[in-house]
Amino acid sequence: MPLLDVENLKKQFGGLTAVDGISFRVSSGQIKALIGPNGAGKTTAFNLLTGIDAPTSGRILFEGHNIAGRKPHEIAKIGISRTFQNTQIFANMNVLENVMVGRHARTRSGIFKCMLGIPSVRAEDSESEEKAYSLLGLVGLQKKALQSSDDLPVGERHLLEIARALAMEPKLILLDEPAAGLNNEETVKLAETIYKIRSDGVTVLLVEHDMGLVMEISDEVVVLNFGAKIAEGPPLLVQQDEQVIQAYLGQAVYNA
Amino acid sequence: MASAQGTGRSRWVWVGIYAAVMALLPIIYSSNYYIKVLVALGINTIIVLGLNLLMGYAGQVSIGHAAFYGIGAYALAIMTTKYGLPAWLGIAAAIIVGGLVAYWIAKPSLRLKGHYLAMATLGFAEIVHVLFLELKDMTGGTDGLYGVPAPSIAGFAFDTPQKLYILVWLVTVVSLVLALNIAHSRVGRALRAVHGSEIAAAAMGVDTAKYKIQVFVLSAILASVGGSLYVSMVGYVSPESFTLGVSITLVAMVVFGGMGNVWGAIIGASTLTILQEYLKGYQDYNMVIFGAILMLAMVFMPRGLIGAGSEIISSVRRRFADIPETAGEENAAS
Amino acid sequence: MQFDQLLQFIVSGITSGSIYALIALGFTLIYNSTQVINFAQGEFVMLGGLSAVSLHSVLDLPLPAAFLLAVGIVTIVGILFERVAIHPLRNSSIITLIIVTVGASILLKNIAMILWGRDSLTLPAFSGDKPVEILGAYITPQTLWVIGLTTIAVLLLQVFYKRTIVGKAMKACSINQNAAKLMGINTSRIVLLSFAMSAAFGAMAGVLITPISMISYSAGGFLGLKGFAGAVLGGLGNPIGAVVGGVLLGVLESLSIGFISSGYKDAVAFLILLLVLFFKPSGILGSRVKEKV
Repeated sequence: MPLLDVENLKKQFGGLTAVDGISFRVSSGQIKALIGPNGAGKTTAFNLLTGIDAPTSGRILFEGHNIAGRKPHEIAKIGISRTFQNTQIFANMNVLENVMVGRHARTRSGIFKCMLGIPSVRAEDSESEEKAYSLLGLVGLQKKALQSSDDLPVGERHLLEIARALAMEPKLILLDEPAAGLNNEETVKLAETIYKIRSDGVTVLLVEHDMGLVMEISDEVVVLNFGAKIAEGPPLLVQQDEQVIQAYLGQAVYNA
Repeated sequence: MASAQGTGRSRWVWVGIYAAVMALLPIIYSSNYYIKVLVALGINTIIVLGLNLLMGYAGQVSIGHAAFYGIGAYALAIMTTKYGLPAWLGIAAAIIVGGLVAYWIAKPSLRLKGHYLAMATLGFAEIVHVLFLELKDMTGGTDGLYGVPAPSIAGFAFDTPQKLYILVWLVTVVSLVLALNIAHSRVGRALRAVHGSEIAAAAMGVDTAKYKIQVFVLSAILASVGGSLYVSMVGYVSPESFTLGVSITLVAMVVFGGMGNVWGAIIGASTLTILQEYLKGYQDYNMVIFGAILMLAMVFMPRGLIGAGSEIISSVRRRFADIPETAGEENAAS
Repeated sequence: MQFDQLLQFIVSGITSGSIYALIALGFTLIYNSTQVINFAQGEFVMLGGLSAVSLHSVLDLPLPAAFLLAVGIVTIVGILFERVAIHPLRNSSIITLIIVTVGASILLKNIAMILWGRDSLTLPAFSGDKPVEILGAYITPQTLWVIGLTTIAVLLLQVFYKRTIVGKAMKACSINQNAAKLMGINTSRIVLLSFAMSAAFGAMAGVLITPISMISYSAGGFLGLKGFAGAVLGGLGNPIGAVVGGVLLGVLESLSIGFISSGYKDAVAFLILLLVLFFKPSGILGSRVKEKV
């Protein structure tokens, strides 16, 4: 059984079809990429997978259960985590606290227990803090733990979001353009981080425009164009696909 | 932000200092007048602590908390004067009714955002105000209700301002501890996450609707408790104490002290209560000065007293630190 | 209820609704340029009414001159307010700015109390008190002035938005301030202009309503509240919505006086406002803006 099985997923906004009946599978332990020209429906697909938007039709099977249309916080608890293309860090908190929010799905103290500050709450909290520190180490932000997250440059915001998303110990992590704002050296480090994430047992699905990165790290690639799937397979094969070349030619000028 | 509120043990040292100061003040200023001002200060602090969790932490603005303040006051007044029940049952009723009404209004309202939410809470408070005026059989209409007895616990009656102050002091300190505990917990971070980015909070597993409702109900309960303490002090209740102006003053206290900081709520409620009381001596010019101070304070301290204070501290530190880089880091960390 | 009675209530509702609409427009103008809810909006109305009273009865100016001069004075107050308190804070959070307007509202209200005292003052009606009978309802000429001048003001605002460069720039700012700035629009000027226009609309409402319901230093709070409610009911940020919302609120209020009781009129109006928001969270004509991620 695949970890994620997307069947005929479709999303319409008014008259516009953003995602047009796509199907693909992600197996446990894979690094899979979702690519396509701008406006191909990649971020919309992520929003459907994480419950931010409800699909018009189709099924999203995660470990065999249909999660289409479930609420975002429920999907997070089931084990799907994500980062955002336009980063959504909590600017009113420091870097460490941002990652600690990521522990929310794996901790349970309710408002009453927290209000009373009972020992179990404090134990849970210091565990969250330790975990958050070590994840900041993974993405190289440990030194900035107590800084205001609002002061981070774009590239580090993406890294912070990765640490935050990992804090909930997801089975599947969705990375939305994690390399945006990173220089070459940082992108190489990002690739290492993604391998590390996979070796820790987390399956990775990413949207990315940096083709070098995509071709290097992904086991499989799904190509979308105008909301529909036009190709799927190992990177080398997909690169030679006639339709994919056609779809990207129009974009080549912009991405050069 | 975290260090401005104290971490770990130092936080409880500050609570101890605050509790001690608030316990000493009525000994130094022992006339009935001063005690009444201190009672009012305590009540405002209780309400503003809750409102700050709602506004400063969760980022949900309410311009209608005078309604819950009033509901608490009327619940106690009606239970005691109309049904002859003991005052402590009235306070329990204030908590229950305030909480239930808040839950009932929070569910549809908190789906609204920004100014629409502010309008909904304001509209709700106006409706409640009309009900205070018009449900004359229950509320006594414009005249209000008189002869509300002082609460008593196990035979000890809080029937003088001094005795009542003990009760208010206790509730204030307990509210402060509860607010600090929430602020520095998983739930406090979830609330701030809702404020920072609702979508990201949800994606991290935060049930945003649930937390918004919970913190709204909590803040309403604190306002209701404040209302029941208020009516215990003055002995009567009438609709004019729960107007839009009161709701706005409470919001001003939150912002004046510094949003999103528990100590900001303490400072905002205390300074504005004392300022309002002090300015009463200027009669007709009283509110002119108050309005001017409020405006100037915002122009010169847009992040409230706490914000201005931490800026001063970090700039002093920067001046005394020789290495500019570390000074910059300290600044960012506060 | 008889038809003529119903008509009477509707006309009186449209009259107060027109006043709410003018105030709501003031809220909308400032909201569009700054995202701020101006809690001092009602004070502009009060200042307009009271200034006109003084200009007419103390300085003996003829009514039309008093009207225009009062609007002029309040416009200057609006401009000063923006320069002194709003402009320096242009980079602060919205809530800080809102508290500034709360402070300004308290300040203006109490200065007015010192200048004009606590009594309600009035102006003579613009063209006499003799009611006209239309379909069995009695309508005073002042009512027609209110409705007529409001209509003209709303139409002129539309022409301003559609036909003038400044109006188009203002509209551009309300849609996307950063883009407008990049196109070379001086947004700081636009903000100033929105305060001036908003003060002028408020003052106009104040002068128009004074002959009907008198005015005192404390009238601003309640009028501002109704204007805000009208603006939200119609859909915050939409000028047409502000007018629709304001008029609708006035009519609802008036009908609830007729059908229920005058004590409950505010409760009914706000109850309907709440219900509208619960079913249409961005007002009647508001558009739903989705956060982009």
